[in-house]
Amino acid sequence: MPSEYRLILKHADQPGYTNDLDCYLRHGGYEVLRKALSLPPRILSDGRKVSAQEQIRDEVMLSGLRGRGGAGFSCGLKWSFVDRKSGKPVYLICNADESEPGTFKDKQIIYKDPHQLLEGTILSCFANDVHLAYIYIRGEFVQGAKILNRALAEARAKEFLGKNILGSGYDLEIFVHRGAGAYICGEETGLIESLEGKRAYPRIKPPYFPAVLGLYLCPTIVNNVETLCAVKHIVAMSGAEYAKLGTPNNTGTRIVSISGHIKKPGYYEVEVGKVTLGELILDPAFGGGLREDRQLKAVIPGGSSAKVFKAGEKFKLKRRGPDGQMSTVEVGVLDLPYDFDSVQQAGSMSGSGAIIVMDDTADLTEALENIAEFYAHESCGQCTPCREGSLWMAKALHRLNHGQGRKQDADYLLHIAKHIQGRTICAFGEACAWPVLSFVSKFKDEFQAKGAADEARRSRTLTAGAGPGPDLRIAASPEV
Amino acid sequence: MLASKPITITIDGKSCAGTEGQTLLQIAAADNVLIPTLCYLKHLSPWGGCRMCIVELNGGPKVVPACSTPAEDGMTIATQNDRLTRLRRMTLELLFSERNHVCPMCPMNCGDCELQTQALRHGMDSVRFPYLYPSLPVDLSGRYFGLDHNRCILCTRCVRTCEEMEGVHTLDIANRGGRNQVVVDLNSTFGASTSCTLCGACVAACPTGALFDKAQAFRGKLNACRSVRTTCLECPVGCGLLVFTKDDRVVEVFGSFESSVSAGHLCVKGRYQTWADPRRRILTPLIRRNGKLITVSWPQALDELGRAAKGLPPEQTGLLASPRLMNEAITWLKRFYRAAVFVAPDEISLCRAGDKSPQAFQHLQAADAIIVLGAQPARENGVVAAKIRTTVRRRGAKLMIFHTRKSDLDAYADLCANVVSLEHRFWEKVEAQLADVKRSVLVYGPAAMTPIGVTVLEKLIAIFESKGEGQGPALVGLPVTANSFSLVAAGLEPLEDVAPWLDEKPLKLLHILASDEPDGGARLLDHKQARRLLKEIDRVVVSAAYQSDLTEYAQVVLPAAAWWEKNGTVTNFEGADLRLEPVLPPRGEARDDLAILEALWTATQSTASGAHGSSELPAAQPVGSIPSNRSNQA
Ligand SMILES: Cc1cc2nc3c(=O)[nH]c(=O)nc-3n(C[C@H](O)[C@H](O)[C@H](O)COP(=O)(O)O)c2cc1C
Ligand code: SF4
Ligand code: SF4
Ligand code: SF4
Ligand code: SF4
Ligand code: FES
Repeated sequence: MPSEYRLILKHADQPGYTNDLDCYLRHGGYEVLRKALSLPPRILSDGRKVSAQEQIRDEVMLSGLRGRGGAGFSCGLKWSFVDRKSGKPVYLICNADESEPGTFKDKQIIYKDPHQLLEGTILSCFANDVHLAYIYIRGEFVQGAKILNRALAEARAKEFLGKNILGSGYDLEIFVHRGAGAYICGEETGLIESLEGKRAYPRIKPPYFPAVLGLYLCPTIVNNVETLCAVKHIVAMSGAEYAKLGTPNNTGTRIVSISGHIKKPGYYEVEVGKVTLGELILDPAFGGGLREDRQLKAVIPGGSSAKVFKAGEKFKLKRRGPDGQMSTVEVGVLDLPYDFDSVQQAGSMSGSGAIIVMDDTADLTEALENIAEFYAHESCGQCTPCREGSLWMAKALHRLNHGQGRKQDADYLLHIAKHIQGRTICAFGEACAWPVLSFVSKFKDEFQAKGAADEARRSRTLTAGAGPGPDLRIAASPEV
Repeated sequence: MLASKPITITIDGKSCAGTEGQTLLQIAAADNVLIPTLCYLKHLSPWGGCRMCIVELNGGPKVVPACSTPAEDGMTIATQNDRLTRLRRMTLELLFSERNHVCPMCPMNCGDCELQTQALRHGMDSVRFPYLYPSLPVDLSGRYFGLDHNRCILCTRCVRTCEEMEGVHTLDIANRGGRNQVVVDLNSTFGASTSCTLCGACVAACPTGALFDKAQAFRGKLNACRSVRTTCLECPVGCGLLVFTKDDRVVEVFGSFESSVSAGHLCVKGRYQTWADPRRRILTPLIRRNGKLITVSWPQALDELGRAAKGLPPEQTGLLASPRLMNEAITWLKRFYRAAVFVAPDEISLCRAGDKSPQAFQHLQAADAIIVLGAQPARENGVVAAKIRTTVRRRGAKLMIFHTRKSDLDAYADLCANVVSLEHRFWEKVEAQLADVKRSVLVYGPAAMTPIGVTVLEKLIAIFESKGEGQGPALVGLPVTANSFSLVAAGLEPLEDVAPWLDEKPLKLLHILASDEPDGGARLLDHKQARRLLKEIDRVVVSAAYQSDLTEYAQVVLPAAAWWEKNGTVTNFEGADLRLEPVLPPRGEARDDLAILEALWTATQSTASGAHGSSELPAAQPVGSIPSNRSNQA
């Protein structure tokens, strides 16, 4: 019987739980921080001293925590890349830009339990000798920014923040910075440029890896809201204990946002890999199944930029048996364990943990147009393939949905999408190419049928001598 | 700084050496491997956006942009193969489908457009995507150049140029994705821009016909022009010019990247004012008959002069020269009995007091603090202002300005003071600003030589001395005209006020050598009493390139060569001798200053009583010896 496992959202939805400091303190808030700050150095058998900071970093490494922002990169490893010898200050940025369509998990934390985020952030800063950190919050979260600012003021007043935190000698300041409503500000180097007051043009990597040349060209850590909250629990329960949650290499819990054609859209915190995609969609504990008389058609497993799964698709997954032997098993979409590795092996990604469900009433050319419009609108415009490609894909899909399609449009779309991926400065290129690649190749007949129907109708109108129909007017409209 | 580590990478099977920190493209270029580019420009920071320069890394399929990828030891890249050509062609197709490129209507068509050239090179004979046909504006409000968004490929070369070379950041990109558009200021126009200095560097950097010079459009294709490198005569900096000519006309003037002074940059004076502004040229000798100037031949004009000089003792003839003369002509001037030069106020005391400032640009570029005293670089020496701004913006250098007049640089300054109203508290602020400054530069102009300027200078020196040994600033003296240092070195009499000199009777014959002063030498008339005194002289001879009010006082007018016809050297503010190459043959019957001096000398000496001066005359440069384009055009 699958069920939620609430670690980060443990208190958030409890009746009477409020987002102020008193309530947080009543629920044991900032105890972990207090403990961590007074952690004595550990002396190893060879006499080497391991500082409190190093101990926390080791715990995070041990926990196997993977970033919850999208790429699922090991948090401990990311921290280990930080250039600590440069003599420059190290900055930490909490990525609260949450703008991947379908994702609404960070918002719950920020609105309902902001002090948990602050405690996780302060711990992460302490562990990395950071003295100045920023929370970059998406512009649309107006209330969220207010809540965070109030929480910061409360924390400062109680000496959880500021100079000489809790008498430990450790100084830290955190500022909230509001974005202006651009998706690309979620990309970490775009975010850094934006934070520096410039246009959020993602930087070229190499050489501008944040861990080396980040904010103000100093070493910088960028972590997602949920990732930083997880750090708090890792420090509280130890890395080894945290690693027992979830499945090997996919440890801990994560908050899944489920939306689309299901009975109970919402966010659910689960142990990673302990539930399947099917359970998340169908089980009464989660999505609660499709509406009456509807059949599943497609699922996007990790935010709009992840590749879509077609109902009935089968994947070959590599599994390590209890004896350590690798074997291949075949699983269907609904039986796919919802963890980083399985979804990736199935050819997509669990990304930001946003599952979007589409039933048989969904028109996939329209759904894809909606997604493509979003990416065409949000491309920063630096790279030719992304700027032009995303726009062209959106145009072509618009045409297809407005009676001006052609049979070959499906192949053109694939052609463009392939030209974008791997040819751009940032991963937005993939983000806009993957939906098109997967939708069109997996549902090619639908795209071709639409184009063919349009062509047939146009040739009928032409032979009937009816002159330009209403469709042509759409094509001629100057909107760009 | 540590020497960079040598590395080796393999490019198209060939082993190429480079150093750590170089990009793939830099190493390839050093080995003459040509990788196609669009957004890359050697002197700008890499952008990595257009994706033309993609190369296959370590056998592919991964491709990386060569212009922005740092090379690592042992990397293997392929720069040319069918797949890369296909990918690059696709990028080009996307660029063409994005905007409205109507090549036959574009001034860059057929060879001046990098986009079109790349398309031809990559066999892009058609575009497979439907054109987007956006409706975009054309900004023709600017004085010298226009911006046609329909031809823009969003490479940001203009944006980076404006920021990194001119340091004003007039340009940027607005909007997201396919709606990206170059904007001037906050979505203004060039005509209304408050920050644009009209330096034109963005236009020179643009790979397409999006930014184009109005005067250049349709005068001729640059790739079909003759090009000559010469030196700008508009101020003592002496920037390098790359001048394009066709059919005996100047078609375009760009900054020369070979110039050790300006490294490719120019200001509006050198870039445009000397050729794109309308001026009335004097093309033939003229003499006054019945109150009117009429066209005559050189021998007639010189005859007239000879007659006028007949019997005049040398002290009754004088020669007043513009400081725009070149070194060769300056040597000649000393042969005249009463020769003087009309200069700007305080300029001469500056040239006498100050040494030349070698490596001024290197000092400015590395400075932590820059002090500007009594100079107006933003108005007079735009390229110095650009270097100051870029240092302030890039390095965060402090800028302090002392002046009596507002300047466009003020907006960039940490401290800006009117020297007339300095109080004690102010100096404490200056001291605080300079406290932890290691490398500083003092840029000073003529006004630093005024009594109040000197007071400020002494204060500054005291502050620097209190900082200790070796803490003094590098000095950069900026006179007003191109060759002032040479004039002073030659020992000529400099006149800030010509009235006493003119008034020193009896002066019967006066030559005014206005050279190619942009105003035809008319600034002379601004001197007190000058108009009255000129009227009192029997014969005034003016040689100038341009018509002006001054010619109204002349009985004989001689046509002088303009800067693009000059041949010789000038000594700039750094003390470097810079060459001016003749770009075009003299227009009409114009002669260069040296030839005019020589003719004057011969005409007057043969008739004047008691010839004066040395008999050893330097050989004049023949002026007709410039290769003419016309002769190849039969
Ligand atoms: C186009 C794009 C948009 C992104 N948007 C977000 C976002 O909204 N929130 C987020 O946490 N990460 C986002 N990311 C991922 C970040 O770049 C970065 O990997 C992440 O913040 C790292 O945090 P983590 O390691 O804790 O996951 C985005 C990435 C790309 C390429
Ligand atoms: S891939 Fe797209 S969003 Fe990313 S830098 Fe390039 S143009 Fe901008
Ligand atoms: S910019 Fe180049 S490609 Fe565009 S119209 Fe002009 S010549 Fe043609
Ligand atoms: S002319 Fe110069 S200042 Fe003006 S926009 Fe171009 S580069 Fe910038
Ligand atoms: S105007 Fe020219 S230089 Fe500027 S972005 Fe457009 S094409 Fe590039
Ligand atoms: S030249 Fe390298 S990406 Fe444009």
